[in-house]
Amino acid sequence: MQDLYRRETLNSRARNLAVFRPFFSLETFKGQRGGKGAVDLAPYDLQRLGMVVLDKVILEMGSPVQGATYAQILDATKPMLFAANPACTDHDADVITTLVVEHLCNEQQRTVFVITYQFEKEDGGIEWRENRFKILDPHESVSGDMIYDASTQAVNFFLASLDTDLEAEQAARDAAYKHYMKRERFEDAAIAAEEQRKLTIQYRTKIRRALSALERNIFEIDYIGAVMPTIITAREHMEERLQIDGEHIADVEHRLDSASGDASRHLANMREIFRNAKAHNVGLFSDVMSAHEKFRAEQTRQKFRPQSPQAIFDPHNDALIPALKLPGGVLLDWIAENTFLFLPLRVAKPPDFADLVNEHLLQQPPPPPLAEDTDLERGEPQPSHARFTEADIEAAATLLQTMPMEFSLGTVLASGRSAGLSENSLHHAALKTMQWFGEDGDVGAWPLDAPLRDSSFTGDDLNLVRRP
Amino acid sequence: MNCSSEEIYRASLLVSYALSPKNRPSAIAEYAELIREYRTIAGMREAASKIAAGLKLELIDEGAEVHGLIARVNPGSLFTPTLQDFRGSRSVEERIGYGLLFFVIAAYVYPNREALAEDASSLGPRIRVSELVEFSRRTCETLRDLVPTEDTTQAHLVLGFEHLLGLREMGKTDREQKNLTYMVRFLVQDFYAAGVFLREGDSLKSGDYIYFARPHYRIQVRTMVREASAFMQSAFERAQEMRRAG
Repeated sequence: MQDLYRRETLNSRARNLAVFRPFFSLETFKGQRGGKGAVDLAPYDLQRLGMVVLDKVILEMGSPVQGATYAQILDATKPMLFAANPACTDHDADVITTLVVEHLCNEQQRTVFVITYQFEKEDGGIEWRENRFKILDPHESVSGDMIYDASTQAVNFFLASLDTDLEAEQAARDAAYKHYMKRERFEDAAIAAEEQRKLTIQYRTKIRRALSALERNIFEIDYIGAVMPTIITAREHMEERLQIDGEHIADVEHRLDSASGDASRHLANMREIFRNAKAHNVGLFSDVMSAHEKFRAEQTRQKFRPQSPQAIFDPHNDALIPALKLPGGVLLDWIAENTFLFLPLRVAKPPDFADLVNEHLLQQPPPPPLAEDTDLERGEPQPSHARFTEADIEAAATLLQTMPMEFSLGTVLASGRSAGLSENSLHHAALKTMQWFGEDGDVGAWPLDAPLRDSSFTGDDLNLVRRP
Repeated sequence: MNCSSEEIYRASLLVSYALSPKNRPSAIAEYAELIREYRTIAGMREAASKIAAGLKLELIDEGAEVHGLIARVNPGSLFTPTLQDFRGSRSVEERIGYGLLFFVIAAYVYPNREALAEDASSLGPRIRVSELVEFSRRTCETLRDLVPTEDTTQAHLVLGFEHLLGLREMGKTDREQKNLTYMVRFLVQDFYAAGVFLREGDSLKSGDYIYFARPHYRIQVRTMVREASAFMQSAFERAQEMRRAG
């Protein structure tokens, strides 16, 4: 039996050690990475920076958006970078943080980290196995921002909990917290409380992921056998945690009454940490309580969902490589018949005046067809005759979007000039506003009975109002 | 079908929102409410699915509360894009180049089956135009060393990897459009404009962008790769015959 324990422990440790590798390689290969952003990385400890990034991401996973934006990560890394090297600029900090975030997302392989390790089988034989894991993963938040969240393996690694059950880990931190509080070592107690909070966030993420798996495909999930026991355990655990959080808060408040100096500061900090942890637990408790209802609703919803073919093919080996081995003409014919597979759907829109000017009226007529259209030697393509470049059009669109509910053409032009837009962009913006004149569209346009005051454009100014 | 006229009305509103990936439930309260109804009211769900089916669309609900419903186009739909819409006036070489780059981008973003099968909400790796071009060249150069080729001057008979290797990496001038960098940039910007890619400023290259593929692209690529794989099997045999016949 002891041999079994030893084998399991060693297998588990060997597997978990794999998660360290990406952090070590951050520092090992920093000489190669420096060139990418032309910043000298020597003054910085990239492993520590990786921890700062992970710490911020885990904390923000407990926020309403459930992840950290790049700006939040950058705010967290800057103090360390500036302290490590007083010559570090904002731009350097941005580049270095980007390099670390990209490394933790495994941008080089563009997929999960795959680290091999040796595994001892029951018969004593050894085989190579793969530990496949993510550290950071980018998502889109409900507001459309890019956010990063951390994988379970990454959180385990960060909290040095090495794959122990979260519930057991929380109990262990609780014991440590009580030990420090009993001896009035408030700073150590605060650190234990902060780790406790991260475990709470991780626990909430774990349960949330289990519940969101229901939404993806309920028929692939063993609800009775796998999800229900998790939910029951979570409910019991939550009840226990809520009681413990309440006791911690009461204890800290009691001590705060007679504390002063550093002790008071640490205790106040701990109170905030426990209140925050309690808020997470309350939120999770509510998710857990409604899990069965969610399961029933998903079962009904997905019963009617069209059964899409689920087989997933390999984009590289099943599509790209065969496509590159085919004659281009064969491929092109097939793509032309199946464009819907490659391009997003298009909603035909009414002609846009400014686009029409750009695409047709201001273009030279097309040249006569060449004798052999497929000839490789047909020469270089003619430069585009479009009146406005894509950059002009985009800048004009952005300018119009930034205008308030009511504005004038003069204001548009003045704002565009102060923002440094080209004459062409301003011309395009002016054409766009004229298109709204007298139309019953999203924006109404009327003459202002005042001349336009602009260095290039003449005529009456327009009053423009966005319709609600 | 057992749904009220009000449910049909609201279902059609939902389908109209789903037609643009740029519509986000967080920004449009009505859309968020319609998605909630779609998930909880059987009549509403049935009506929306039927309306979509009539338009030859399929509604996919994967993380809809964040990204909105994903409308997948089926053949013959009014909303089917055409190559003509996309890049109608280009030469054969450019059209073939763009066709191959569809595959290059998909394989770059989802380098293997596991990456493509991931939860749709994961955005996958960052996409930089320069790195995509580099990936394209590297892949084609590897194939050039492995696959025997024959001399031909006709663009439509040139093998895909030779075709891409025949394109310059950069244009000689800013206005030149027949080069890999321009074409890749054009494609990712087109995906961004359609709302299937996100983008952010690139810290490592001032003035440039990095792009991320939204779940809409993942869903599209899943279908594309499956169909392409089936086509490639038979096309490869036909192409061999075509080349033998000259």
